[in-house]
Amino acid sequence: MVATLAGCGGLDPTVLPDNAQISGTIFYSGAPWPDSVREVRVVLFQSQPTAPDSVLSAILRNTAVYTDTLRRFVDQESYSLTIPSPPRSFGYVVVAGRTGDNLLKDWRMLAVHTSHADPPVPLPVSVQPGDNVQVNFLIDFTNLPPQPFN
Amino acid sequence: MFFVYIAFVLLSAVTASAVDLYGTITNRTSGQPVVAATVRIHGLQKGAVTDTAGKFKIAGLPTGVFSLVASRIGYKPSTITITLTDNTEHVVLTMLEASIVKQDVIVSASRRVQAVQDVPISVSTLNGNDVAERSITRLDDALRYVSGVSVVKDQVNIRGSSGFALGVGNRTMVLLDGFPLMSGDNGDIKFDVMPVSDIGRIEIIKGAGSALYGTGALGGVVTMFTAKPPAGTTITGRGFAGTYTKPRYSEWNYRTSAPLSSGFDIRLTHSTPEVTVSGSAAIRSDEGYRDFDKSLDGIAFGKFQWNLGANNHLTAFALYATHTGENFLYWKDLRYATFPPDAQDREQLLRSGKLAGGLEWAAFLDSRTTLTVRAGIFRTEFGNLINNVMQDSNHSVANSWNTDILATRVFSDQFTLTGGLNAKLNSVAADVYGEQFQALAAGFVQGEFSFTNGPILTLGVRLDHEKTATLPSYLELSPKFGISWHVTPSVALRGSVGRGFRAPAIAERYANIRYGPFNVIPNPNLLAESSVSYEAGMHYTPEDAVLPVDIDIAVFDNELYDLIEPTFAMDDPSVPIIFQNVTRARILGAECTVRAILHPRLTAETGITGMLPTDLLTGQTLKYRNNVLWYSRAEYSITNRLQVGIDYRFQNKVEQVDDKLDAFIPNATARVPVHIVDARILYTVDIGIQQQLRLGVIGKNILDYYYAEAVANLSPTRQILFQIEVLKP
Repeated sequence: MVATLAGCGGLDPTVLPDNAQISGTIFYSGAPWPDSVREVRVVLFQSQPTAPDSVLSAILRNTAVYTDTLRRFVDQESYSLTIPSPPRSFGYVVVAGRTGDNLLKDWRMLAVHTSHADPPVPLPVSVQPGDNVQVNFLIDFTNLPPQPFN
Repeated sequence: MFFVYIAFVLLSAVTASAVDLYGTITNRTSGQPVVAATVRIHGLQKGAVTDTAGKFKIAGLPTGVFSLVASRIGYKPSTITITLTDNTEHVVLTMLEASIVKQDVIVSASRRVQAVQDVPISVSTLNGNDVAERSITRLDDALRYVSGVSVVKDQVNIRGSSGFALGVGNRTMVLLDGFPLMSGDNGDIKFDVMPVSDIGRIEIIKGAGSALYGTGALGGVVTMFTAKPPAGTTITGRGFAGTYTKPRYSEWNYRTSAPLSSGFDIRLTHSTPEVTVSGSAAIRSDEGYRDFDKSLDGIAFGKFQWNLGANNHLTAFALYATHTGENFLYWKDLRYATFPPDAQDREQLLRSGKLAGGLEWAAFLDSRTTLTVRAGIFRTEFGNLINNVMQDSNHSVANSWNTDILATRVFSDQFTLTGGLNAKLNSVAADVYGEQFQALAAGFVQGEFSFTNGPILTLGVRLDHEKTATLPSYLELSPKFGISWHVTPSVALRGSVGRGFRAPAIAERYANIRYGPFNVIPNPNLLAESSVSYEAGMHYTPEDAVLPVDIDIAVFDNELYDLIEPTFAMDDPSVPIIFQNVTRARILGAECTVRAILHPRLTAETGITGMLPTDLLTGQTLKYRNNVLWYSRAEYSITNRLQVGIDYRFQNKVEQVDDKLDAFIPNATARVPVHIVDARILYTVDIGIQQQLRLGVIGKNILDYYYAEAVANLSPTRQILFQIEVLKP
């Protein structure tokens, strides 16, 4: 029994078959950083939210995942995000900025991962176990993308 | 009526005279003295243990007629009737060897001394040596060595009663010598406050116990008894030092040097016929197997017992404990499981202090009646510490006052009545809970009917009244019924039904606090949660078996109502956690424990508990509960001085957790089965008259198995300790 147990080490940080990774770099351009942006996160939604309160419910239903707060007032920032329980597909991948105290209402999309079509459409991102998918963003404070809701 | 009688006989108690009972117990076949036998007065809280000459003394008894019961591992229990007069008495008992493995004496099941086989509910025991030889420094670590019990980050889980509740609202009542040690704000157990070096015995009742203990005894009751000092003056102690070994994975190696653990306990006792004094102190330092997990603990404990002569004694105790430590709440992620999140404020430490004190007066009112009166306080304080200055935020001070009157009357060999009154007041001043109070008052009574060559029936009921702040008060009625029956000399059957309840803790109702990534908000409308425990069991000790063996089997059904669980408030924009009465659950299970002496030098024990914990609202397995708990131990004495021991614990992988946690903490739901092996080598040498030195090498989690009992918390990795103890054999 002991020999059997010795060969079974339990949790293993080098084997995370249940997870995938999305990482990349966010580039900022255009106007100087507006002071009104209080925090920035990369958020991956399974589908595009249609109302403010669907953002948090998506997070709590695990249909959305997001990064910790990222640095502000920088020219560029790297991020890395662990995706639990792949394979998964996210139809709306964004950089979101909070512009007020209300966690529910005060979010604006600073950049959306889109195709190069004209007009651009949100580009889905799919991950398999063990994947590390690169997604970069360009944020132009003078030309923010269309918002999914007011 | 019962208390009127008590008041009447109380007046005559102070004039009664005390008698000391001396005795000798010998082996009926060989005539040799029986060493370490337990001797008790039937129905009363008086007893002793025989010395190396088989002699014992029970002091301060009233005159009258008593049943004297002697028991010991490997012997049949022996009972004689004695008549005590004004003169000192001396009795001689003989005992017949048998294959009985264990004859524990239990106090907490009925709040009076009983043989374990007379108890109608499952009870496990640990003694002080079980704790010391494993280099255990906290009570929760000791409870991990009990079948049917698991511990998840300060939550004692007896037969699946508790899950993951952010450390508040424990469903197990914990007492020290009859005084409750539950905090007034969180309703939790402060494991770092227990004076481990003073512990003589721990009893664990598995199942609802509110009929005697009131709120909190929903899943069970853990009672610690301090060790009774021997006559004269003694000094005992231990020191230990060791390290966590380097983890196998470089990602988890958070420092270049090995993290150290060390500590020492010292205990002084002095006992005369008039007074008994004991005092102890302990310091422990742990650098931790994780980054930002260092801690420093100190404990001081003192107990004074004054034998007032005329059948009564007065006991006072005081306890103080302090903890200062880094506050590792959860991991950064599984890849870096020994590191806190990057956003962790490393300037902020956690400091807590606990102070307990109490008085107890216990007396024989006559030869068949005892009365015990207790009053005590448990004060707890915690808060954040920055630059050695306690902060006003996340700060709470709570006082829990408790008074208890307990009386037992042995009306005849067939009928014993126990009754009492209890009052408790919790007052809290905290920025996170506000200024609150919670008052509980209760009365309880229990009758025990013993039929000659028949069953022992126990009937009891307790009525509690609870009032918190401005909320409406309510009553809780907790009945119990038990039966135990020695159907043959080797088979004892038992059955019980009992109700448990737990009034919501002040923290659960009023918390407005940030806990790691979670905001916790108040819910004053919480109701008490309750349970009904059903159990049937059998204790089998074959008389003519080739191997001395002792088997205990139990089947149980715990019905849980209005369970209070932390839940995410989906309708609130900030998505806080709120405590709510959310679940109706059922836990069906069976437990089997086998103890055996496989060889005169080899003893072994194994206990397995299988459970089906079901959330009846969802039909799924109840969250954070195991299906299988398995504990085994073996001890082998290579020589009279050299002993080795090994323990093994298994818990199956928890099926259900709250997967919303993954939205807040990376890999929060990562989990595996638990396989833990602990081992020890102990060598004992004599260093003088009645004094021994025991040297030990203790390995904890020697296979370096990695698991997470609590959400997003890697459990302790392999630790090797060297220990020196000075013992009084």
